[in-house]
Amino acid sequence: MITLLIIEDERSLRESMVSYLEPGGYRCITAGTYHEAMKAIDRYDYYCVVVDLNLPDGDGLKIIRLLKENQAKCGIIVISARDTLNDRILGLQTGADDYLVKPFDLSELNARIQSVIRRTRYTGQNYVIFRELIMDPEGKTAVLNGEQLELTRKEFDMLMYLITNKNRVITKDAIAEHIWGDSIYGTDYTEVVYTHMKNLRKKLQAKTGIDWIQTVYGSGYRITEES
Amino acid sequence: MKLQTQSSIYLSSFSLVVFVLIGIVLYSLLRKLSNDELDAILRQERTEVLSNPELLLIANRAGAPFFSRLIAKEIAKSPGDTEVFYDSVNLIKGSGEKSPIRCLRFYETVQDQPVEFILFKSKLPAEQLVQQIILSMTLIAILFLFGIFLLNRFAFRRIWRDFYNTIQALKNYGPNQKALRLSGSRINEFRTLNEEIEKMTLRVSDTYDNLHNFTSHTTHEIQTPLAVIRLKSELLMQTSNLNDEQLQLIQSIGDNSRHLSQLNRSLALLFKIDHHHYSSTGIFYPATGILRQLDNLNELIDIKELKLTTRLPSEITVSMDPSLGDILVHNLVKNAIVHNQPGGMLEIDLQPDMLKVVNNGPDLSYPTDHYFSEFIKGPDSKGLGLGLSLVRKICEVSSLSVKYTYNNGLHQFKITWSEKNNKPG
Repeated sequence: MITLLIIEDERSLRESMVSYLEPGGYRCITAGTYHEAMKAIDRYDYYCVVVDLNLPDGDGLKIIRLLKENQAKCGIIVISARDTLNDRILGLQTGADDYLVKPFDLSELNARIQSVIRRTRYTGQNYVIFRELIMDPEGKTAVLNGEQLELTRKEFDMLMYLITNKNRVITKDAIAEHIWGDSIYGTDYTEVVYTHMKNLRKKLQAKTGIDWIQTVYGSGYRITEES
Repeated sequence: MKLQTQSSIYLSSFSLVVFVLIGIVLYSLLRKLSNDELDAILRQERTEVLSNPELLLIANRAGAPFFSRLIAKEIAKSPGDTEVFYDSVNLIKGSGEKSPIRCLRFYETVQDQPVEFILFKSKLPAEQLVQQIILSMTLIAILFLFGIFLLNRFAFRRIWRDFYNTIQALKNYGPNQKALRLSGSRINEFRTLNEEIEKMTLRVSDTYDNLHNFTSHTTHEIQTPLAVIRLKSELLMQTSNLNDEQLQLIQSIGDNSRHLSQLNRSLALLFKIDHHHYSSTGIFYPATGILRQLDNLNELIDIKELKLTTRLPSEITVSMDPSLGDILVHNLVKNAIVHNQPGGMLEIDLQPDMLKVVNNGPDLSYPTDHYFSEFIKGPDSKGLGLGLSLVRKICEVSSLSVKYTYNNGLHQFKITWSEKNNKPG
């Protein structure tokens, strides 16, 4: 089973992350302090560690250094309220694989975790398989029922994001932020998301005959394994 | 005007007035004295003339004593025993020059005939004396003024030195510096001034520190509850059996927490720029940043069917913090797209010393200088109203100048910088 370690001092945030991630098939170990984290590190071989840099009793960067020494194959994602370029560079230089600024969407965290695990655990070719669809995250190509599915780069990313968070409601805002970053904020992005989603659904439906993607009234979209 | 110039002007104009007044008084006094003396002489001579009546008889004849200085004229009726002193001029024969004289007019009856006599005497020697005295006075005055000027110049420097040091220290005083420490002064007023300034800057730096701590703590502390709201609403959305109304409510909570997070982040950024968390050095390539943003927002440009024209020479650089440069051009480009009208034009022109962003759009009917204020938004804007405040703030700390104009339905933002500082290397 894929085991994750979540190091975050704020209990509400920790619990929310676990609530979202566990139904996705992960085992989540949690730590609220630096010392708890130190103890937890030796207990399992983690696929990915999510670490908050600001801990009440120690520095998250130290944990990253220790993980790099002892668990080379473990992916590390920093979650931090600090959003300057220097903070990011420091986190990544210390050995983190990704840096996520708080507040973030759980769907985004989930996507980052899966991406980091893919990169650190499975070297070489690895595919994401969903129903009759095979997606290659590296080559950004998709094959559906044995046929190439022609998708634009953004359509591919959008589909990948939905599949990563399958069976969950993903808001238009979360999709927009995932694809365009937060510089899209303040624009009419819901219209843009809608247009892309419409094209994506059309392309999928043309090959499968059914609409895999459900519109959730007023809030977002969901891709499901059964329909 | 410099303090020294001003005080020199006051001092010299006052001295000049005093000297002129002294001159006038002295001149009239000397004149009166010399006239009195001449009058006494004339009166003496009159007595001399009267004591020899035969002199009167031969008064106008050549060779007579007093001939050149006594004129007799027969008149109809004597006005009595009166004597009148007055000034007049005498034509010097031959040269035609006039020479000042002092006259005494008196009347006598000579052989039953009333005669008017005028006895006069040249004032020239006395006038010359007065002139020489005035001349030397003027010389003294000039020397005195020059002395005042020199004294003012040197004493001034010494006296006001502490004051100028204080001014220099204040000029160098930045918003995020510790309280000023000024040297003491021998002059009480300046010492008091320095003490008060020290106290004031101490208060300023205390206020600054408090505000700094408060703002950075607030923006930081707000993030956690905001993150919790966002995550919980996302989790809530995953629960089954929600009806449409409930889903919309949750979505609204999520939307607003997202809005608040963005607001918080932008305010924190404004605060950081304000408090010089960014360096003012570095090299920024505007073309790269602009193209990246145009690429990122190209779907919005397509949806609005904007006519885009760009001139973006990639070699142009601006010396500023590159991450601030990115925020600057991102906001300008986003602003020009978001506030554009469907089918409108968007023109971006980059030149060695300026960047111009022009877009169509309705007149927003508030004064142009309000555009850069915080929380100014167009109707139905989905933004934060902070984009242009960021633009202005970044320009301010990066020594760029930004100008907004609205003309014939076109909004134009023009950012200029000095070209010579921006050669790479």
